[in-house]
Amino acid sequence: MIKVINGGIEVLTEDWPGRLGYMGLGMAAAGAMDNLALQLGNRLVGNELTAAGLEIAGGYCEFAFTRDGVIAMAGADMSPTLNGEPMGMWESVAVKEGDRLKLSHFGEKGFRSYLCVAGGIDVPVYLGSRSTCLFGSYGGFEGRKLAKDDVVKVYPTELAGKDGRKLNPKYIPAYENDWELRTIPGPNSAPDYVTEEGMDYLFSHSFKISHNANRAAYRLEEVPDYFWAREDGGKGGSHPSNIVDHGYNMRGAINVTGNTPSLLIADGPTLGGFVCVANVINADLWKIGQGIPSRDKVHFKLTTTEEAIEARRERAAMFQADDLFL
Amino acid sequence: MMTYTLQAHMPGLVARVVCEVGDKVEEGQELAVINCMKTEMSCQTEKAGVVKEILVAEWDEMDVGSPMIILETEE
Amino acid sequence: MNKYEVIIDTLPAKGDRVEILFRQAGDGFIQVEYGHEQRVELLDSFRMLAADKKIKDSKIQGLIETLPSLRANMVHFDPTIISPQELIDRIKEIEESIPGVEDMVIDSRIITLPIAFEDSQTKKAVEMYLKQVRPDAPNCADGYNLDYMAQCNGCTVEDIKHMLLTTDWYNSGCGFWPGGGFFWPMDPRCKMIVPKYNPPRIWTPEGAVGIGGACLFTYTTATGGGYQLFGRTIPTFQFSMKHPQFKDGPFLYRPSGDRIRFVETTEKEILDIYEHVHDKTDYVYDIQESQIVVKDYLEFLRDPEVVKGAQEFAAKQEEGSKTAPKL
Repeated sequence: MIKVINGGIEVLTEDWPGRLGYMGLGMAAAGAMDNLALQLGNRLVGNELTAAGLEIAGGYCEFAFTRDGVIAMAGADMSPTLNGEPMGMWESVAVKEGDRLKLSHFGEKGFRSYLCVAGGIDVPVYLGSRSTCLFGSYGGFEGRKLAKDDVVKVYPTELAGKDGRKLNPKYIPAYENDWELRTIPGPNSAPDYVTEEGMDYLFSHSFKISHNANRAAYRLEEVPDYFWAREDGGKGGSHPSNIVDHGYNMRGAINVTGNTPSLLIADGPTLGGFVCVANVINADLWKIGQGIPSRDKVHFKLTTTEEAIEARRERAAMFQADDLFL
Repeated sequence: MMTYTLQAHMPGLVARVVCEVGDKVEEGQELAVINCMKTEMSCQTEKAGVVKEILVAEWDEMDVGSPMIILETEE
Repeated sequence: MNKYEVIIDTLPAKGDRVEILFRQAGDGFIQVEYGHEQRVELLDSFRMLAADKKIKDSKIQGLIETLPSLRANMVHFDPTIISPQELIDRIKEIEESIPGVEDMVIDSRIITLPIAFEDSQTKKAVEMYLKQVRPDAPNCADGYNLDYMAQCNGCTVEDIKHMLLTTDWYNSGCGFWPGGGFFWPMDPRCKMIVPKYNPPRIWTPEGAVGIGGACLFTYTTATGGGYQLFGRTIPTFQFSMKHPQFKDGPFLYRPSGDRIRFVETTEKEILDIYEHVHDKTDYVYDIQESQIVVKDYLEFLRDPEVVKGAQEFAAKQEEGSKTAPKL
């Protein structure tokens, strides 16, 4: 079990692939913002890839372990210390009852870190997932972020042989400050909604992430007026970004409201009256979660569906690679 | 007399400053609020003292470590 | 063809079916869209619903979920299990197997919901908006939104209430917020149109009933929102799933196709029902299994009295929309 000494900015229980199958009833998939780090962390501590971990945004938090266990930190380096001693990232470490894990804050690159625990975080499975949907206040640990004195349960498991694993450095994801997101146009693209020049702009410009960036949406810098191929949204509304309400290609949609694009991610809206001009491929969704609000940028790389499917296959194979650990 | 500088702990925009020059403040008191991740984040002083200078205004963009408010402190 | 072309396949128009477009929407999404025109036609939704049901029933390997809306269906799938083209081919087969919309009979429950007008919680939401967001909001002048709704439609507050209570409201699809449905008036004589709040509200009570554009929404939990508020109905969602109505999931509405019908009651009665839904868990919802026979519905739409009433109302509405303050 894990006792929260300090809840920091935002610590949540998340899993992957999240709560699938309820978008048609208005519930987003939620799930880890950086599914790559969470899944690698799960592999390090000997969990199933679908086990839940603690997603730590920003940092500034501290935990105490009330039982012996094996843990790993994956994702952004927040200078973790165990009982005051530096602890490595991307490796599994044995902890004893009473040990304290403390995180400073995120550094130059990356915004979210994952605490994975052998056995996985034990919260009730709600509609098929242990993920918290913070936007709707449900799932995970009482539908909220963790706070001081919360005690989070961990599923009991055999610990022997699970500590001392180190991720092969070649599999440690590369973190940037201008993230390349492989992206597929659609469903609302050129020529009917957006001009070709507008799409060229989308695929050639680096967009700064706004401070308005959370688990539901990462708001980006505005697009120019020549983005639009039409005068208005017809029956959908007066602005060319309006459309008769439709389901969103979520997670990963580039949704434009007015001239402001937003990446709709984990907790985003499932349906609404604005165009979705493109979709970040599944294999690159993790990068959005590491984008630092109010600092980092993203740029979109035009990608085909075939390339995206191949990237999914490569990712799945990577988790099972023989040389995953040193 | 010593000085202490309250620094931003998150990137974002200053939502408001909730102290004035000359105010006597306690350790742990909220002096400003930063808006980030569509949430208001409280910026609290780690030391007691008197507000000497306010370096930021509403809507200023902060990064981690940006200086915000200078206090005069006893120690 | 430009490099951003996203229409990867089509099914030509046939009979009363418009052309169907298959738009790529990522490596796990395809949007099935009915026609090129941005239109609001319940007949599109009837067809969408019939196709959606068949898609779900055919248990396609690799299909994760669908999000039907009025004239589009977003299909979420795992492309490592089924290729986009295989999926499109399956959906095409299903679309081809569906009869013309005029011959359809659609499963559609009728859910009767009590509503209290001018209740204290709606009043609170309006007060909070005036205090925290927009003190001069012209849609909140009477402490509620009803006066403004009447102005926009060139009618009286009593007419607004009467329209809400007279027509059945049809759900074209759930979304935006957990369990929330988007409901359209089935009687064209009751097709109120109002602008949305600008800027939106920060708080709306659970059970608030609102309208934005021509679409009605029942707020499933307390949240922000932008629809003009009528009053308050009973719970249409329960996270905890304690009440037997919610034992299989927190949702009252099905993904789409339900109709709701309002009956006026007192706020006291509404509050009493909240207690019997959330605490005592013994409230019995009034839900009838039923069907929409599209032929009969079209006949209703063609009835001279209905046509005349709809035209008269549309004329009043046009006048009202000219004089009502913009938001």
